[in-house]
Amino acid sequence: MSTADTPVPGLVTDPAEVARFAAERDEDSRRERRLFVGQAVMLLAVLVVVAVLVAVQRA
Amino acid sequence: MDPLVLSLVVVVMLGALAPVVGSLQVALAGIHGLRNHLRRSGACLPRTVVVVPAWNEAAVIGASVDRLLAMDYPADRLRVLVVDDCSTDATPDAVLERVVRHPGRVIHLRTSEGGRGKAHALNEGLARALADEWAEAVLIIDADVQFEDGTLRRMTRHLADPRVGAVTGYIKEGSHDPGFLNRFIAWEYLDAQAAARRTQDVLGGLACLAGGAQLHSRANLEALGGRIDTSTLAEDTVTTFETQLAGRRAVFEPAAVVWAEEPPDLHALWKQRIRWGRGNVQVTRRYLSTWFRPWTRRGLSGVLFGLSWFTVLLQPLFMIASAVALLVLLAIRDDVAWVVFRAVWLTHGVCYLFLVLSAFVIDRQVATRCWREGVLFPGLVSVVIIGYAAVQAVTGAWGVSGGHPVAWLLAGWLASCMAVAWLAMRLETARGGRWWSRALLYLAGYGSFLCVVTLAAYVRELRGSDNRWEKTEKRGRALLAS
Repeated sequence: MSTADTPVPGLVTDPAEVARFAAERDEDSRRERRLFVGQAVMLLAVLVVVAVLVAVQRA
Repeated sequence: MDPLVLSLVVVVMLGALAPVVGSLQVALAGIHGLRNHLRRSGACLPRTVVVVPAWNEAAVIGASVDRLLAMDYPADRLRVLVVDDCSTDATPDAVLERVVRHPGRVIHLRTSEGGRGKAHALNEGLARALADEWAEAVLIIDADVQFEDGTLRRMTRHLADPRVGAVTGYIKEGSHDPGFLNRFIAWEYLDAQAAARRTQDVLGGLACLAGGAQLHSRANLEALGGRIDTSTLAEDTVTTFETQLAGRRAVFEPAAVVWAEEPPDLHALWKQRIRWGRGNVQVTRRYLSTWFRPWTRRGLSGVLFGLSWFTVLLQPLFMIASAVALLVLLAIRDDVAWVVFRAVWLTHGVCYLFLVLSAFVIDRQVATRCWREGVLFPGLVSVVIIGYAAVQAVTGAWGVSGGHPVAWLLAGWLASCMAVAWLAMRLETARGGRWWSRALLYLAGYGSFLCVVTLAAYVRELRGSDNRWEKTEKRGRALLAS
């Protein structure tokens, strides 16, 4: 039996609790996606700074 | 180009490897937004035993137990087992008071023999926890940490995926009134935990389950023999590697925030980091057949994982080699030396800018609180050299000849900054030395301090010094979460 087939102890079936877990997961997923966007913006900002420096040096 | 000169150029550029790999790690952390384990998580509240090893922790243990029991987790599914490692202070009294106050929820276990270190105490606790079928999961923590209300729920949700063996959280430096050193540590954790562990999650291999917050499924601990390693100083890392090498996943959950009290002075920090550094050297040797084998498995054997592991481990050697090679180049080909000097420091500068800006995206709270230490993390002298290299590259101004003493100082700084950081630590206990110690650390940089500790850890390992566990003193200072 692989680990994927192992029965999971502690799984919750109460609908209210399941909904709460889902809401927490959605909230955390959104925050992680914001991190992705923020990192991309910062990377872009640094590339712009480098490009400006290179342009000034060549000018 | 002359082969000797070319070789020297390559060695000089090694001095820029750490910031490049560090930036890559932080950049990849953003991918965690698209690729994480959350979609496989589920509603899961296993019966959990919290194992807390405690040796003379009277200052903190009571508050820790109270906080654990007050967490947002069903009371009938949570027990706290304090493993009192033959404490000689009031630790037993503090725990026994909680045993009476919370019948059936707090267990006091006194070890048979004290002072053998955390791993031995943990093993006694794990044996007791696993002997009872009640335990479906075990949370291993340090005595001083404080969990935020929803932290345990956010960790257990990942155990809904049976492939997950262990979950760790985000340890944050949480002193309510932090000194400059605690702010440096907070900034370090932002990169080393919040960013690096997200990246490791993306790459499929976690380097270390934080000792202050590691949740294991019962199945995982049983597969590990119900014990953790006692032969190294890095039992957390060994547990992490063994979990993953046995085919189970180790997951980092950034929303599971845990506050910890970190060392308040350089001497205490030195002791703690020597232990970590030696542990990493021992782990590197132990898993020699695991590194850089991407064809066997992802994660721990991947190229990026190996690159980041060895860059941290070898960074002090790279810095010394880089400085020595640059000094030799300065003596034999100063025209080439200046070009490479600028290349190294401009690389440092670009990475530095990216790391500082990214910190505000990764953890705005810590970044806002500790931005001065973030800006001065590489040290004031290094920041000035970065500025100098940028001005030189763009305008060609402020040039100095190869034989000028300033040139030698600039070229040798990557190595000498470690000596200055070491001096900062030595001066700390000297009469009137505290101010000098602080000033030198800001000049040399906290990063240089971490490098010189790693170097000292090599030396201790090579000398075969005792694997003695040196406890980090906790004073029970108020934490942010409280």
